[in-house]
Amino acid sequence: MKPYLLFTGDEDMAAGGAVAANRSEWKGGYSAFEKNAGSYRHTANGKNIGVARPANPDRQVMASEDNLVLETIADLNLSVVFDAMARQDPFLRETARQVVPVPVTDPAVILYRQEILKDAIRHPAALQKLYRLSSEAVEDALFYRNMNQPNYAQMVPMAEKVQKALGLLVLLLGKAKGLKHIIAATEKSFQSKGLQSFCSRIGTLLSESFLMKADAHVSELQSLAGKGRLVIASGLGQGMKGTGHVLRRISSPLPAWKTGGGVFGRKEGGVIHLDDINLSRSACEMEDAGFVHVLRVISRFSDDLFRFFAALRFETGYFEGCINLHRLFSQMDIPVCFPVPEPVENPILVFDELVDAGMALSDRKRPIGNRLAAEGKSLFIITGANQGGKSTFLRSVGLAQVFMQCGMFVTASQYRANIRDAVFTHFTREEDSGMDHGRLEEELARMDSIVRRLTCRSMLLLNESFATTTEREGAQIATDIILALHEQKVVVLYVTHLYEFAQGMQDRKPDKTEFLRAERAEDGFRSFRIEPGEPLSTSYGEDLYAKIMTTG
Amino acid sequence: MEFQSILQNEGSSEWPATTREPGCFADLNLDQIVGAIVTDYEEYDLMPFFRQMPGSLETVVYRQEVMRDLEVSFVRNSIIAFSLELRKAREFLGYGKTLHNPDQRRKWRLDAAMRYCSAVLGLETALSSKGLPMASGLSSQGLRQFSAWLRAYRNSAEFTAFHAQTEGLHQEATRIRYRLEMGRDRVVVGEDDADTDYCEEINATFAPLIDVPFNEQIHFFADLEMSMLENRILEIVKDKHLETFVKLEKWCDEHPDFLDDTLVRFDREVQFYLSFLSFLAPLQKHGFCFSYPDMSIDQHLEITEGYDLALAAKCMESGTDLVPNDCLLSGSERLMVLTGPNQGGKTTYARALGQILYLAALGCPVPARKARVFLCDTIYTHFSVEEDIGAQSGRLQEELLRVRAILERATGHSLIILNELFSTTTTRDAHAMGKRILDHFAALDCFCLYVTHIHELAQSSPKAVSLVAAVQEGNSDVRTYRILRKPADGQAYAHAIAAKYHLDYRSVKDRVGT
Repeated sequence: MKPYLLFTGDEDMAAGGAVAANRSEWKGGYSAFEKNAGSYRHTANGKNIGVARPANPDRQVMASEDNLVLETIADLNLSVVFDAMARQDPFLRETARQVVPVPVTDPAVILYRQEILKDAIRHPAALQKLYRLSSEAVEDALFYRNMNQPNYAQMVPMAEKVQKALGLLVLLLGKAKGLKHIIAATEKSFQSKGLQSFCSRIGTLLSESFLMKADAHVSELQSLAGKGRLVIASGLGQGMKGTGHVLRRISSPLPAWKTGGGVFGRKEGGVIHLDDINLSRSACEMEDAGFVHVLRVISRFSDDLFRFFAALRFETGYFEGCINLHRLFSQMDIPVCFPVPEPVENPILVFDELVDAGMALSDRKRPIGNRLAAEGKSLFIITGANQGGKSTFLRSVGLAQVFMQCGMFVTASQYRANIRDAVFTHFTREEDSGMDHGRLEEELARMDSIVRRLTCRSMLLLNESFATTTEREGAQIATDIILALHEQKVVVLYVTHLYEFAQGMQDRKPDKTEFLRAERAEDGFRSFRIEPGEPLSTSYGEDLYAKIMTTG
Repeated sequence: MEFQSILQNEGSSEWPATTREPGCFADLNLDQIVGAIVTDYEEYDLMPFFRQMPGSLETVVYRQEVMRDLEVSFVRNSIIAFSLELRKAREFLGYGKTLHNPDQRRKWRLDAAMRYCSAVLGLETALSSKGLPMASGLSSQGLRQFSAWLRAYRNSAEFTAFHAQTEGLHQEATRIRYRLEMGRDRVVVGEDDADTDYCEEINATFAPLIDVPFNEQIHFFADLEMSMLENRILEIVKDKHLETFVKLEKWCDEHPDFLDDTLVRFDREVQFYLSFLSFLAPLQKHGFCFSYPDMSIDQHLEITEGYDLALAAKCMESGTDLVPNDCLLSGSERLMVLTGPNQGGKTTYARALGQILYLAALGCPVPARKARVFLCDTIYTHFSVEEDIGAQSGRLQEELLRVRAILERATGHSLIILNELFSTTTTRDAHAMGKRILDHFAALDCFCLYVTHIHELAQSSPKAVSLVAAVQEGNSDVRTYRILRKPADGQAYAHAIAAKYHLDYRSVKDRVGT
């Protein structure tokens, strides 16, 4: 039983492929929650009892994860987005952190999520009910498990363990009934294929007859565990050992075999009295084995129901996070739209009023938007004034690409772009700003790890890369790398001050290339808009110098 | 119809139970290689097979053919399945000897017989023309003859009757079922009323919700020996089904020993091939190539991209690469004089050469892309041990004694590998002695690899060629581990750094995936 809100479910059929690989990452996600859910529980209930949050949760939790994804999260300032999606709920933050940076490459899945998200935005209360119920189910189940921890000790009789396991199953079946009620109440209001089929599928699985049968089994098992009288059927196996043991339903007791008393002269040939410690110990072992089997059967259903609720919590949690984000943007009057994902073949990047979502969330106000209409372009060289909005522009494009590929809306009035298999970022860090070859090597080492992963379907955002050496050397290195990537069809957006490089590219006139420039009026006024324009030989450092010196 | 051995087509002599390790094993690291090959095959005692070269070209070809047939995974897996069944049968027969309850012992013997029959039937079917996936059938003489023998055995009246009797009895025993009702102070044994499986009913109810089907079984009484309760239960079952138990006793009396000697021998000998191939498999997967050498009595020594197998196994573990090398001699060339810097790959080259010729003589594929080699009768080696450089006079004497023994025994079909001989004496002496030794081998017309720091020795004979462990051009500190056949004998900063990170134009273009 799976919710199938983040994926259509068809992917399970298609073996391999990027989507399938993604799915396994999600599964890892669920199990991580199962382990950590204890600490999430307290904060999620608003009763924070001092669970220490790691200083940098992104690094902490993802230490084992992909370094390049971590860098992209840092470079694009995705943490701010995660925080906004979470609204103080650590589970939502973790969910966003796991879903948002993983690009979906199947357009059908992107549209599938978009449709569900539209529904969710239309009916936020319904989505919230699903999220709350599944959260409760997970946390109550974990709480029950923790309470009954001694259950797993050796001393406890098997029959009692079965009783406790039945308690958990009863709890989860109760939540399943709650889910059925929510579905029945909200089913009709949904328009998306994803939520509609979720409702009908889960509604059918949790049918009245199933729930009745489940209850009947539970009470029968309860009485079995209470009285502890098992009937086991066996056959003769290898070396005369008993084999093929199965449990029989308790019926009226059948008579024991009459063995004629020939061999051992007993009257009741078929009855073995447990009048010896060895005999009764072995009988116990058999009984325990029978109950262990019952326990495994029950636990499996409980585990599956639990996993289902954990998955539902995770998947509805993602949409809950999107709703939170959407609310913030509309409060700030920032336009959002659902982007149009295009196949990778013909490069296209068209948008209007695109803003840097991260900057908007940090500054709590609407930033200046940019527009671009680039068809058939795969290399963007962005030059121009310092603090002219180049990095912001780069980040806004990167964020929009990431948002589009997790099935979210983007902060623009319209957006069309190709589906990429990955977005990589190579941003100059504060600590990189000096000029020595140790830093250049560090930068190149990072570039090396990116190139290792790049494919002709990837997008790469470079911000002031290769500026840690002399302009001449930097330009040489940049030219080699950028030309090679461009010829291999990697989409590259490169913000650079390396005039020698930019001018060199201009002279080469490579095809499918767009030169963009941070706009600057004659009086030095910066509009923070990025417009098509050829590189100019200075970056107006003197503007900044003049501004600081005069105001200071 | 007779079948002798899958290891040799002539004679039927059994292998000596223990064969001493050949002298060259330690020097060539063949002890490590063979140790790794046989490690999981202890019960078959394969060491003698690897320590003795059969010495006949026919046998080598016979083995190469069998090995090739076994490279077909269907054939190999069929024989592995057969061996596993036989192993089970042997295990069961062991229980049939040691356990206390006589009914249990008899049943284990019956179960062993079932395994044995299924091993025979399974292999016979797999190796028959209908069973084989290849249209051309088996190509090796050895497996073809074995398959024909197996067919005759399987169709013999004796085996057919044994199989029918065994199977019938086994089925009869399997049909016996009983029911145990667990009470507080008693266990009641009775007829199984064949009700449905209760846990299955629960499963069926929940099945639509479950993604993975449930296949757990109830297990108890894991010990081979039966507990008191099991014995009591079995007594009751036996009382009820006495006829079957009596039949079983009779069956045991009639078939005290049912394993066929030829099959048992085949089962052991075929492990020679299986163990070698399973040692090769991970290496091949890792990109190391192997080839069947073209073998002859004539003096050929042409190896392309040969490498040290023991080193390859280490590289596979550590994920590093190694450099393969050629060894190509033509015409009357017999003597290779190898010089070059320390740690430059000379000893590795010597080991690879020895290993390839040894494995070739065993009838195995060799660690090389291509090889055409002579069938050598013995490999004589002497590798200097660097640690005892201190004891100089003693060492020279010991070396000369070793060399004398080699000179006395070597034939025109031997391979001699001398690694850093006379390194403790003066160069003049070492040169003079080395020259005399090489002259001896030149006269004998045998192949010899002579690793030395005296490059003048390369000119000692028209049969000699000079090999050099090469260093990088322009930087003699960097060793390339390439052994080249030749007489004994600096870019802009940004680009250099970029190249270091594989970020030059060409590399980037090649690296971006499609």
